[in-house]
Amino acid sequence: PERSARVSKVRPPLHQYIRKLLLSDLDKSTIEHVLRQLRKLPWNECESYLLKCFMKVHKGKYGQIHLIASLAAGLSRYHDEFAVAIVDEVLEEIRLGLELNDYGMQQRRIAHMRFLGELYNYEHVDSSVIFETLYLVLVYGHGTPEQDVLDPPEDCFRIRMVITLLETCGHYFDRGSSKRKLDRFLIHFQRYILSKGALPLDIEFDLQDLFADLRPNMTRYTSIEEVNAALVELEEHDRIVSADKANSEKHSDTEKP
Amino acid sequence: MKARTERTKVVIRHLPPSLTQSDLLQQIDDHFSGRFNWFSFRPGKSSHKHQRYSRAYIDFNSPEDVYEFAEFFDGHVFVNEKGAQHKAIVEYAPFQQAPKSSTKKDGR
Repeated sequence: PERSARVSKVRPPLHQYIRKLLLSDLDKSTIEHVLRQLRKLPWNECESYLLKCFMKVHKGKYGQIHLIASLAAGLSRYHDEFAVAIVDEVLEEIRLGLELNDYGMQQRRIAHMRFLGELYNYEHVDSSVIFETLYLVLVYGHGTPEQDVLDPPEDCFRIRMVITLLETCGHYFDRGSSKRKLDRFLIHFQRYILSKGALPLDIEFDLQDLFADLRPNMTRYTSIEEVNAALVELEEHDRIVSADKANSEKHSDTEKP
Repeated sequence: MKARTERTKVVIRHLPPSLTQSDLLQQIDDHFSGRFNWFSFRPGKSSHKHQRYSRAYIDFNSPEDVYEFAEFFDGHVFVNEKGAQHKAIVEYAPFQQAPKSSTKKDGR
């Protein structure tokens, strides 16, 4: 049959150059150079195209996502608008993925979790953004009529998402308030895991690695009842701490810094 | 990091893919002109293969403006010329930072 030849997409030279920098030139040894070239671009003309390319982390190599995050952090000193847009955009992608739960999007969803974690590692977002995302992944769509579509009982993809993010930046949550936040999250995460019932072995092994890495001494609960009891205890503990705090503040008003 | 009570940046999601920035600003400006310091519009896409909603971020001057805006805009239904309906969602933006208006220029 007669078919017209495939028309390949023709990109303007500026776009071709940006793609060359990000998709073929970029590696560990050239990152300084790529950053300098990106800074020299006519930003008025190509800022939105740059943003688009930065969001294509799933098209490049998985092991290079940290380089893109590093570039984002490097550019943010000079381009605040871009710095904010990158984060808004990643978080939107993650949210959209949860809304659609489309099998074909899984690879890019994992890449975006990784990207967000790397943005934390390069100090581009703070830990509250990470924890809000983690909890969003656990609860999004739960308790709504769409729960069976968004997170069906046998679907373990959200566990993968959490593993990916924590593998990327979880080891930094090892002291102070972010340590406590991770301890707390991991109990909620365990509750979510138990709600899934028996897990595929590959996921179970990745979970074992994750816990061994981040909290080797943490109890892995084996039943919903146990983990619920742990969560109740946690709440109880919080109530006492905050009551103590309120009390001591009442008595030490004069000593306040 | 802003405390929870001081959150001023919102995201409007699920806007019609064909909506333009000026369309949206027109609707917002009637009530809210001068009450926000930053606005950013992300146009959607409607091709046969993929459809993407439009989106907008707004950083308001005060937390109270956010309440009023959400009351006014959350659940607002857009109807396009073909009769398709899109119900907008207003939420706090998960990332609360907004660009500072004066970034130093890159001397390169």
